[in-house]
Amino acid sequence: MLQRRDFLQHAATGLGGIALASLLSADETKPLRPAIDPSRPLAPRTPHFAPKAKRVVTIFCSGALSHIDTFDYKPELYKRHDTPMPGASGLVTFQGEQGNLIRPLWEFKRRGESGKPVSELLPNLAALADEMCFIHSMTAKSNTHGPAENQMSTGFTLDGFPGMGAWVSYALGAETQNLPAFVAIPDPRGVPQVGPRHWASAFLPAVFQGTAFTADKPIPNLARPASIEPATDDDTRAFLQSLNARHLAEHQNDPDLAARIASYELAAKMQLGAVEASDLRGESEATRKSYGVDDPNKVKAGFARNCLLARRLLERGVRFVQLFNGAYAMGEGVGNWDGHKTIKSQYDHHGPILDQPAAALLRDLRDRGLLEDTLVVFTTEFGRMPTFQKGASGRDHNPKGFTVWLAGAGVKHGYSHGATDEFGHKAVEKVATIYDLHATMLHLLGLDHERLSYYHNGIERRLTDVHGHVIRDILS
Amino acid sequence: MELDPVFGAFDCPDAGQVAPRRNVSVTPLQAMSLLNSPFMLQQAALFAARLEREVPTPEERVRRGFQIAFGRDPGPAELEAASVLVRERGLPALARALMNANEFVTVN
Repeated sequence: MLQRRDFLQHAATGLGGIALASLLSADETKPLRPAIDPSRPLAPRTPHFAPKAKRVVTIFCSGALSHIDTFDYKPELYKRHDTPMPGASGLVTFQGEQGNLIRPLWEFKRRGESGKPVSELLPNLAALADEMCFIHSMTAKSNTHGPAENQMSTGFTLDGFPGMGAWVSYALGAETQNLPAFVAIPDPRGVPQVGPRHWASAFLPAVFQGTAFTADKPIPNLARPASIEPATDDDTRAFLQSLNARHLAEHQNDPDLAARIASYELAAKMQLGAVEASDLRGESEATRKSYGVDDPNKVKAGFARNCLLARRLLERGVRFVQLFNGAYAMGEGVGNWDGHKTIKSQYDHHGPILDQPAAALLRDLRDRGLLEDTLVVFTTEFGRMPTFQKGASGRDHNPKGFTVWLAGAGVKHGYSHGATDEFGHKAVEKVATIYDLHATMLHLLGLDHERLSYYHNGIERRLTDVHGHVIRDILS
Repeated sequence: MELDPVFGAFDCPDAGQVAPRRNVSVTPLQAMSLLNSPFMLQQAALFAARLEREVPTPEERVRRGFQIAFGRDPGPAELEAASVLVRERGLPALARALMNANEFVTVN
């Protein structure tokens, strides 16, 4: 029997041993916190090792896009259409009991040289299947939109953790000082359920939070308010500058004061830079047409303008662009991919909004050579069931297996990694987690996900918490 | 919970996690918010109205503004520049400048 006193003594020595071991260990396990100049917090910083990607654009489909009806082809569903899913009797998922297996509601066709089957729901994206690197074995920790959205963007299901874009701008700064390092572009219909949490800096300094704007809604407070005359604004700023200059002279060597003065200069630069980047009029007619920016479907045209804005921001050196498709507040499946009850009619509505603009963005990035050093990541918070919900014509939430895809810098083309079971229900082959996805994204940016950290509340915090493995199989 | 846009730019901690110490970062968005947000314009107008209510002459209003914002009197050059600004652009312009000044926003 181990005595309490002995246990404590052993534990103490044991812990001491661990501490010593970590002191003696080589430097490559130590946390790496980027050195940040407070007067230039968004200055470019060098990654941990040579990167494949210099910038990232994510396309997030809000509401949980069905992998069953888009990218994860399951012939077994045609054979067993409208029969119970074997081994799933009495299965209860998010909204309740499950009905029978239902075959994909859009026809799958083989695409490109890879012959990848992708459905007719997204024909323009399907035509680019040869560019994509699919992860069919993705899993999420939560079957509920809010926590699952949090996990996809921040690594944690709980609220209050920094978004991946915030981590990346913290690590790497930006290649431009005329635009924010990290831009979030919400859907024309609104934001996902956790809204600004997708791009929050949480415990990272606020300078690394995403700046949210769209092609149609500029950065808040960017412009001089209409109620203030230009001459009044100029004189006010000149007087302010004289106040600050005097104050700085009395407090030499205070980097924060210099940083505040610099922030007003940066704001002025950004006023010009953001207006220039958001002005789509200079784009050729062919480009505008390929995205669909003048489409009669107003939501599609708005999303198309956002996609074009994303390309313009990436071109101008923005480090991380987070593009959203779908919004939460309009209700289940109405403005998003949450097709519980009438998935066919809902997706027939949402498909065209996403498809042409997102495909045009991917193709445009490729044709301009930007895919060479830009990573595209297409995600959603979880997948959907291969069955219909009992008494309904839609699919329930399924975090046990779903599809995300990557394209561009450092990843294979026309490649599929991992697999779900024969019904598309659970990931069974090379099962991947969101930690793995984040670890891989950071790796492509030249960052070691186990070392990039920020000391907060006694913990060296990481995007990947204490988990995650780089998915080496998908690296080119 | 959606972070209030006024505070979100200023390192307001997310209430979802404990935050023993608040971050201090400096961003262009803070500058834009302090210069141009409806909240700050409203506060500048209220500040100007207070100065008008409390003291009768433009010079006294400048002095009172410096006292309230900075806890000190203006120097001769500041008094001169501030008086010109008030005469030509109105008291709210002075209030807007004072509330954007480093001396007001940061504690030394």
